Amino acid sequence: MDRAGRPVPAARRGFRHGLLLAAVLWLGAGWATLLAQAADAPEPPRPVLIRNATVLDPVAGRRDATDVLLENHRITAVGRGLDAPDGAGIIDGDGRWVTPGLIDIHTHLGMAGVPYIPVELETWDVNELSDPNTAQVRAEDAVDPGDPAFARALAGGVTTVQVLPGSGNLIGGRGVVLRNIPAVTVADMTFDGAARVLKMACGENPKYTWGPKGEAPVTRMGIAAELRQAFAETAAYRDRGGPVDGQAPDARLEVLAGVLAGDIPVHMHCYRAAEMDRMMTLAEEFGFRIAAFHHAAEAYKIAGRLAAHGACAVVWADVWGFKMETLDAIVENAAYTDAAGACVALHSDLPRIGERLPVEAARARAAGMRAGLDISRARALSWLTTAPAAMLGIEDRVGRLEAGLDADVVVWNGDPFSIRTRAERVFIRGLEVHALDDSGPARSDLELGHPAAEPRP
Amino acid sequence: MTRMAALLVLLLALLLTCTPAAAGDLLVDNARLWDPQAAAPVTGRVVIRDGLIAAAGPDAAIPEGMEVWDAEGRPVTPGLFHPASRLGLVEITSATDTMDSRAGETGIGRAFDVQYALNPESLLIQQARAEGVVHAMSRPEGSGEPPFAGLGAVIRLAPGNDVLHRARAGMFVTIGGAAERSRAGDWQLLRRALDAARAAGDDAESDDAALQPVLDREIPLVIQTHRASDIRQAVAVAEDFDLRLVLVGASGAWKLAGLLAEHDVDVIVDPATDLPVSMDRLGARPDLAAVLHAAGVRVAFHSDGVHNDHNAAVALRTAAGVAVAHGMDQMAALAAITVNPAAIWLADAPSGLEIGAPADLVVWDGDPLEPASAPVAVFIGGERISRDTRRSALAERYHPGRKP
Repeated sequence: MDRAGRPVPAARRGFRHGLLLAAVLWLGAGWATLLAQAADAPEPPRPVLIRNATVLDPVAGRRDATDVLLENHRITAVGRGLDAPDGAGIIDGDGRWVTPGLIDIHTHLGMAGVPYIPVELETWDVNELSDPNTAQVRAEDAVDPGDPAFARALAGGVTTVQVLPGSGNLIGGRGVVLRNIPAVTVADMTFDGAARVLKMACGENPKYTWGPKGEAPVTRMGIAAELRQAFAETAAYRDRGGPVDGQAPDARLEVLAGVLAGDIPVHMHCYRAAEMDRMMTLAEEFGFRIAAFHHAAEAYKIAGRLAAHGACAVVWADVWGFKMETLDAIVENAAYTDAAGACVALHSDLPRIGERLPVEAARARAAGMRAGLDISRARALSWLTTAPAAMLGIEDRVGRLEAGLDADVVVWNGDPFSIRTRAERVFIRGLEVHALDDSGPARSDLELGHPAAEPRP
Repeated sequence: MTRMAALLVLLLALLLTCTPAAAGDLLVDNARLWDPQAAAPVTGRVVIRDGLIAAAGPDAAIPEGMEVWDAEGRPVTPGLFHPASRLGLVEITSATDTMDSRAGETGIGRAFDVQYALNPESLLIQQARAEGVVHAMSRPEGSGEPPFAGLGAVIRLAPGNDVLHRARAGMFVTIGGAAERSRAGDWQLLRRALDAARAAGDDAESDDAALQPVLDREIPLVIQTHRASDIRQAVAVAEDFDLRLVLVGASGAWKLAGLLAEHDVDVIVDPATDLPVSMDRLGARPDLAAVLHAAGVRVAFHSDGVHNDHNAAVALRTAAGVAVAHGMDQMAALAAITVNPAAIWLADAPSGLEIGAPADLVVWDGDPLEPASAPVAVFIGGERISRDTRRSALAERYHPGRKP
């Protein structure tokens, strides 16, 4: 059960996946049990005791030869010499590492689903380009859980994802936080109680999306002016008490009023230091805070300012040069920004990066250490766990290996920061949703039975 | 200033006390040698004379009076060779005046030759060189005569004003799913062009002449394609016209590994793309490289991702690391980003740690296949090159410990 008391659906689609079959067999259960778990009143998954593993936690650090116990959807104990409850599945952790499930705070999974179909790129589901301000739209209305990239991310240890609208609009719409469980509907994946942020954007993308059409914004001046106008109208709407009698509430203004009230966090796509500063100033004028700048290529140039405003930097380890505003991105960005006291998370944006997030963290950490900064493995892991969890308001539920938190756990077949390592088992709320075997990642419906993808040797 | 002065004095003192060594002579000692043609890394040394490798291995004799660079037990690999890049042709993707990999309005056809666009001052070349890429195939993306993309050039990233190493080193063709074209027509166009060039012989017009080295097997026909049906077509073309064939992409090649081995087809793949990003790539899988290698196919790695050109070295090492994570031998994976690309594009030249190969070495601060590792030194032709880049200068300027 989740906090709202709603049963959390198990892997409804799982029976179609050979991997999950392996998981079920390992759990000593069978079809009936998995299907029962998928039913509306599931029994909790069988307890699992991971024994004698190297446990890496973003807060507690590294503990060798340590056990982790998963029971009743939760982590119930982390320590040495734990007793196995009756009927528990035992995982030999020798040579293995255990981390919390990873959180990818910037994806377009299911909205920019693969395969990319040429004729659909004009209307793909990332940017609602009918107006530069579409605060009222929601990513969850576009997400296709059948996107094969979900399973690839899961095979990389990603158990929670935020799916965001794109950056073509100034105000792109609401994001949604999903548990990365195989499912048919978005409702079955939705992380109840997580923030539903408002995605905004500055810089080249809204300029080049709208400017060539002869519509605002054409310039960065226009970006700021349009945003000021939108929030001024919102303040007036709020001050007059919402909609005029007899009229429906204005969906756009209701969302922006939520921003002004501090109820809806703003996550803003923005690259340049000077521009992030202007956006923070604009937010301060209207009395709200920008919770996070995404991509934030130049965060390292204004890390102190970010920290003072309370804005986090959500960055790649090192993606640069694909446009002018990314030219100054450096691989030290995460480390420098963190060292200056601003909160930092790493993100994928691109599915192929999301398949190997710990390797991204390792690169960002190594770059910082070469620059003389002292960055623990645990700290680097926080960029993929506790930091994004806090940004999404789920820090007391996932992101750490601690009794009482959801049993979102990854067992790695080696050091998770190594490219040679793979996630061997992935649990979400105690249910095994990925198990490494020779048949590769779970087959999406797209690939299932397709002659191009089958048979596996 | 005082520090600078002290450095100068130190340099002078060194110059006066050192045994004069010939330029390009160096002993790299106490190295953990990752020879891509060996079964495993071994501790040994590399003897460099006149910028070439004179000896390498645990038993290489130590020459007298040679300048020594102590690797302190760190891993040493040959310089990386990027088999399918756009280095020197592209810079900032949205700054279209820095993008020269397509013929565009020039309308030039298959003879489109990228050598004339190469920019040694490219930030991407600076970055790639600093991170251990010494050679790259710079390939065209499109000519005015599809499916031909044009002629690619091998570049050598030694510092200086000229990176061109071998022009017209491969004829590139791209065939696959596209909104406006049938691949059937593209295969027909390719076959007609080869027929016409063969009939024209040496008297050919310029566009036909561009295919002569392909027909003469001097350079490979490079087909960038993914679907298994297209890979079969490519092999059939190569057989019918007796061509050297190189495939790039080849997501569906795992089903055809035996056929590709039998026909000596070289295959450049991206192990890190296991997503079906297009309908042609529904069979994408991360053990593609391991499957091909096991069947005896020579493979090399590139990347379909954002890092292929801008973080070329990281892209190559990530590809190799992913291949190893999915079952490939680590030395075979290293070969796929060093000696195999050299064999594909510079078939006649020694490479890697072979005697007579250019002394292009990278000394790493960790496992060379880990993206988190970085070079501590890069030698090109026996000379240690500067690893300073615009980006490292930015990192220095904005270091959090620096007082404003």
